[in-house]
Amino acid sequence: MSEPVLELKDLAVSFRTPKGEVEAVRGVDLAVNEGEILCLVGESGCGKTVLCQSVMHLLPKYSFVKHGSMSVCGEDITHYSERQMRHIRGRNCSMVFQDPLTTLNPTIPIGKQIMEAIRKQEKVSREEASDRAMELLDLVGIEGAAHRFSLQPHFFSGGMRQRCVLAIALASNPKLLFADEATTALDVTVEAKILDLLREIRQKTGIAIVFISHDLGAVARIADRVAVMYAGRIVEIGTADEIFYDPRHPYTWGLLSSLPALAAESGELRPIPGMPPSLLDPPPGDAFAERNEYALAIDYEKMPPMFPVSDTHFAATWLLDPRAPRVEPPIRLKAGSGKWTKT
Amino acid sequence: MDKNLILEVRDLKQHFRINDRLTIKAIDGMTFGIRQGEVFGLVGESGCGKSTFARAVTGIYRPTEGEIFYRGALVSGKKADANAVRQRQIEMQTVFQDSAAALNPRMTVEEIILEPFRILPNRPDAQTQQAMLRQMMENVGMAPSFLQKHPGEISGGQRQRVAIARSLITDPAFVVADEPVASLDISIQAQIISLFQHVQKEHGFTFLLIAHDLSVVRFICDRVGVMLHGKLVEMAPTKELFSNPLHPYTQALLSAIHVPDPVYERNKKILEYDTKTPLGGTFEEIAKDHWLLK
Repeated sequence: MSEPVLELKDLAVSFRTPKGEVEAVRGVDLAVNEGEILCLVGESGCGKTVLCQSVMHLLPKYSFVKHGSMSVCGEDITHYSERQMRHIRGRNCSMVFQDPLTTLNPTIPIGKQIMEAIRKQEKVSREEASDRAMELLDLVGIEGAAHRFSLQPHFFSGGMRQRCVLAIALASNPKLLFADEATTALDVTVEAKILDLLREIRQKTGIAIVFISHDLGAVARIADRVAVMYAGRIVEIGTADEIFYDPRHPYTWGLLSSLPALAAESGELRPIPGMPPSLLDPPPGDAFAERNEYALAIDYEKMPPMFPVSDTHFAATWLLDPRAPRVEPPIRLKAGSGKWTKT
Repeated sequence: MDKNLILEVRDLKQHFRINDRLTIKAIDGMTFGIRQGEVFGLVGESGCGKSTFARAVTGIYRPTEGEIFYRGALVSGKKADANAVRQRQIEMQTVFQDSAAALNPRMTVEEIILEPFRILPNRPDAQTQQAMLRQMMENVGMAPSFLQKHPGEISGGQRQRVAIARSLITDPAFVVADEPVASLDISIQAQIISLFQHVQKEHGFTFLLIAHDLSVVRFICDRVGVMLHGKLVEMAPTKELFSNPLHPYTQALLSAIHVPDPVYERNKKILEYDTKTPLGGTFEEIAKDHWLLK
């Protein structure tokens, strides 16, 4: 196995606020390999975005890395300065955001914006950069790149704009791409195309992708591995098949059983009750215990460690401790059936 | 068409004139009806005119052409029946997508939920209102301690519950919800969908649900209409539409629904539909209750 493209070790990120310290990310271990698509799922406020932005060093000044380290392509960038980060961003890792319209400059033609990204990182002539930009537009599936090269973003539809943003992100052949809810704002048909495009680009370039989403349907389509986050921690991680067909954490069960897509036949939704806890003063034990019908007494006192289920599958729940009572997941998803059955 | 329609539109058109050269035809000829007590879903991609339709039938917009009937009486245009317009105003309630924008930030939750009583001709006295308020808070799953809070102090899911409580407090006959869960988290989405399902069964109001998420529509609706470019292209009972979609656009739209099942997703083929294809002119009933634009 080669060296992971992204490696996080016990990373914790906090924000200083007038009310006190908000612990947004609370100890995350994660490794993403070359050519792998890892999906981060979880409710808003669980720390998905903060995790990615902290790697990109895009967080505001009042945030700080509490402990742990992060490295990209074997380089420890935990305490890199802005100047050092400029060499990392774009070249080693880049990021695509949710709303393509606010990412793009509305007054500058698309082609020029892509050229700008290329020429910031490499010393190439105008002609070379423009050729490369054409290639990139081709790569992200924009037809008639020559015509569209000199058009401003408002001439493009939402899906096209997101493709342009993707072209900019890929301009300097990064090893790692963060896609933060990159397809959430798009229509389903367009979204499916962008997801397939991401897979295709991964095939062609061997880029590693960290895909953040709360849409488990999109995740099912694109993911190799899935990490479920809750209250600043990864509570379960495994291959897509393991997470969807053999989930072990009660929170993952809850997420799957609150999906209308899977409940269409049974006609019954099982929403997770309550709200995620405040990270201003996180509970000492399992943060999910309050909302968890399977919570054990120890869940309120002690944070569960990661229990291995298989070589690739880990879950942080005391239910996996040998001393815990055996609990059957409330629902089960049969591979390829597209609906869950009660157990 | 059948008799128990609560709302009917005939050749409804809503055009927006931007300038001399450009007119946006947001709704371009829709003819159909919504039955008393049913949950009707309106789906389509962004920009197809779903929200414009909601605004037209609630009377926020004045239709460019065509007629809207509420309980059989004309409520649009110059010849509108003033009593029927008033009745619609009282009986129809709306839930909007963005609850942060829909609730007045300077009012407390209590004031917000009780505000609709102001337009009621014979409103209950303050004490009854208070009792109804408590009951409603319980129905939407919120503690009474929220009553004195302002919208800025509560979360998105809770705000949406307040918006729902406000729309239901007058016991409306018709509720229009424009993407009520689109901006919420999955677990909160499920809570709100269950809530809608529950209160609809309890109150039995007619419910027009506008959504782009087909799995939500499939889950809760009795009948579904599919919109494209301001027109209905297909309309059928939910089961029928999902098992036997006839219009190529509906087929493409259904094939694109994400199913949270990796094996299913990897084998799935998404159908293509070129939205520039000219649409047919006649909306016909081709099987019982199954309408198609030919």
